[in-house]
Amino acid sequence: MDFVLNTLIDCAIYAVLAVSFDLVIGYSGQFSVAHAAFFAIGAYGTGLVATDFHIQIILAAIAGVAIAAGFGVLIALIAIRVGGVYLVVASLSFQMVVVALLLNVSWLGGSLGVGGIPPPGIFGLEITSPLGYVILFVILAGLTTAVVWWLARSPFGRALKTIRENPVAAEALGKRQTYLKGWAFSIAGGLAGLAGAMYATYITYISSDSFGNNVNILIMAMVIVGGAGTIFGPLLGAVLLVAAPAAITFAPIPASVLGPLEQIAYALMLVIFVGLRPTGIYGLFPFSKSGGPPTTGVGQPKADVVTSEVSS
Amino acid sequence: MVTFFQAVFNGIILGAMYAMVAIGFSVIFTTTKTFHFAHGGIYVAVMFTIAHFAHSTVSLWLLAVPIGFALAIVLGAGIEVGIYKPMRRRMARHTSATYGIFVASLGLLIIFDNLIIIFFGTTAQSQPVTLYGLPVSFSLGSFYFQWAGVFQVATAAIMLGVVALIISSTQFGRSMRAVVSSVDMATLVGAKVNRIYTWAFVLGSALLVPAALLNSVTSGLDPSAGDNIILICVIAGIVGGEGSIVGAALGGLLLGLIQSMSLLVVPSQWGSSAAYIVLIGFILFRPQGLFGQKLWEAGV
Amino acid sequence: MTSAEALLGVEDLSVSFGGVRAVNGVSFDISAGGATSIIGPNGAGKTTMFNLITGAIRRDSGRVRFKGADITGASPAKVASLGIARTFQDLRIFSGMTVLENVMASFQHQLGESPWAVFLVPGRVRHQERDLRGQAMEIIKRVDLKGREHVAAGSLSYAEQKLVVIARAIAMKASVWLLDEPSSGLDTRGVAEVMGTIRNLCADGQTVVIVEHNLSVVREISNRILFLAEGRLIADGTPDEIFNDTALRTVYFGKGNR
Repeated sequence: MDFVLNTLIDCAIYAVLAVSFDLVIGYSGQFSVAHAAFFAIGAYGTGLVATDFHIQIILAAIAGVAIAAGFGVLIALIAIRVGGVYLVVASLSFQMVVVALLLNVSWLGGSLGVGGIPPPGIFGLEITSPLGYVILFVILAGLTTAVVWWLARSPFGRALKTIRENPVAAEALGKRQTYLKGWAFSIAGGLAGLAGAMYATYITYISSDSFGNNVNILIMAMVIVGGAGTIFGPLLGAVLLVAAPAAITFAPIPASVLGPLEQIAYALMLVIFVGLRPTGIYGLFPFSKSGGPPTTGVGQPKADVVTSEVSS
Repeated sequence: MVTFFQAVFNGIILGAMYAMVAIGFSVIFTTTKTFHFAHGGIYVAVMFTIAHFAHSTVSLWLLAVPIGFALAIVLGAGIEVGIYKPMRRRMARHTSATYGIFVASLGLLIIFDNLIIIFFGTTAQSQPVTLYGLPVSFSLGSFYFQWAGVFQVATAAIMLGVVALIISSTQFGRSMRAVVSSVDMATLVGAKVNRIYTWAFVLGSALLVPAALLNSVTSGLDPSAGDNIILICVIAGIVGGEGSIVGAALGGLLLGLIQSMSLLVVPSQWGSSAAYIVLIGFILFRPQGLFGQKLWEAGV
Repeated sequence: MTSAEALLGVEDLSVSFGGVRAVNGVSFDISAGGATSIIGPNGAGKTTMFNLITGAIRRDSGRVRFKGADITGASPAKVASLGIARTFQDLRIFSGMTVLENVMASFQHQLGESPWAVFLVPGRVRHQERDLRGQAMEIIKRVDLKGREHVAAGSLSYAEQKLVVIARAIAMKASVWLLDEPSSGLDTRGVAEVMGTIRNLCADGQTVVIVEHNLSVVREISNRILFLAEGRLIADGTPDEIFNDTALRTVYFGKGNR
């Protein structure tokens, strides 16, 4: 039973990650590969604020989210300058630098990581049982989904889509890239930070190897397999890609092979879906009237596209 | 304590390695505009395969290298023909989810990485493969060199020369240049673009083999080498400038130097971060690289 | 007309690309009302002019004035919000979005485009959305796309897509319209429709500037023609003046013919 609860907790954490990533890649069409970095920043922010400064955990979590959102603006600045493959590479580098910092800088935890992070609690009441975590995290995941869904449906979401579809035309229609991307990335980053806070208070001990590129691939797979630009697609993707491997752990496969095999499975799903079914699983069902998966999708990273036409 | 000049020499040697892989990547990228992340995957696959065969029996060296070439070419061309080409065609027809090729390539890289781990384990073999019959290293004054390192630099230079020759003087090179400047025009004058693309992958992948071979001797076998090197290739390409193979090679050299020299001032684990910071700097302030043309299209 | 009366004016505008002067010291003023056409041989710098005016590319020198204020160097988004609507020769519609979404996205100063507003004053946002939807449907009806509003713009025919372009521009409620080759790629009926639309706009008192290659359209609807060649403004006059000038004909068509 505990196993099921733990799986649900993982699902909830990844649901937050996938849904928030959809805002960046599905709705705004920005191919940024830095989401795991915000996950890490949120987790570390929460952990460090709670343990180093002995701040109440809920407040520490808020701090973690805020810090992550702030870093989101940093990526937004890059995304405003460049697009396509440049953004991919720059965001990937950002990711690597963040992880390197977390691994090597001692006051950020260093190779020992950050431990002793208190579980979520307020006014003396603490969550200690898996069931408690599940309830809290599912509520948070639900709230996240609701927030992102609400934003996506709003004029703000519509303006984001115009940037995805045709940034030059969007600008000519008065949509400010700076403003819109800034918001999209900081909201997405903040939400990824929330996932980090959730993770930190659940695991209570975090280290930099939980936040590597593997996580990015997993999140990407969830969004693409589920269906980018649909909110519920990534939600589905998150549940699927957490639950399925969880089930496989029962299979008689040696641990040393299990990890890489899982990675291969995720990557394979990514390749297959992006090649044969780019609209994802959700795209199989004609649920949405107009807010469906983008039929033009995210722009193929072309190295010769610098989004700012007024270039240097 | 690594002295300044030793760092420079090490940097040149490292940079030569980067340059070699970057040249192959650049050949592919400038010709087909494909972001072939899987290039790094083929690199490790070739490296481990050659090392595996060469290690088992010394006399299998002669077999190992051709096997390496065969593997590289089959993988490279196979990926192009089996995955990229159908996706490109699909993209042209549907204009749906155009991030496809890049994501697929990234996925392939991950698959390769993990296959290597499954077959060969995660531990990096720091005991380098020895180049049959040759002494490993020599000293000149107070400087230490590996023979393989010297070969690396020589090979890189030769490779660059060969590629430059191919591009400027052969029919294939001409076709490549035609496709680079305009796919539409090239098709108009009868170039079989798909064939040219495939050959670009063949060439680019084949160029990996000397690099992989020499790297296994100088640095040993590391399963994560693919991830590292591909990011270096990308950075080198951006630093060197769009469309410039020579630029990519020089970019690789520069990155090797930066990484090596940075060891003089910061602890070793920051080495690769130096490259990333360089990258972000270029992207923000000089996206056209050092040698590329300004990416300016007249009119919107 | 003096610059003070002009709605939109450019002064000594120049820009070079890789050593070639695409626009070379061009100055003109456009006063409110009426249709001005910019014509010229290929590569004359016509679309570049639009890009310069709207801030899509940075000029090397010169100024752009709109409603008396200097807007040189303003970003395209700012220029749009100030009241200059600009269409593209290659359409650039939002293919993955419906016609309705395309039009609704084009309204300026939407409250709901701010995340703050979306969460803090959802009632007002919803109210504005309803209002805008009504306006959008009106526009869609006006351009004869009624019934297609929920179709993804990417699956429309070329002619319908051009209508979406017009609809988006109408939604901007601009004071000046810069239309880039509005009649290109259309059959005679489509061209007639475009001309009708432009005439209606002028009748409503709008100010329209169009870049056109179709000279019969130009002759039909313009009250003024600006002739650009090799980046320079080489003629500025009424259709009669321009079309009867044999020297200009040579520049446009090359030696000899009509």
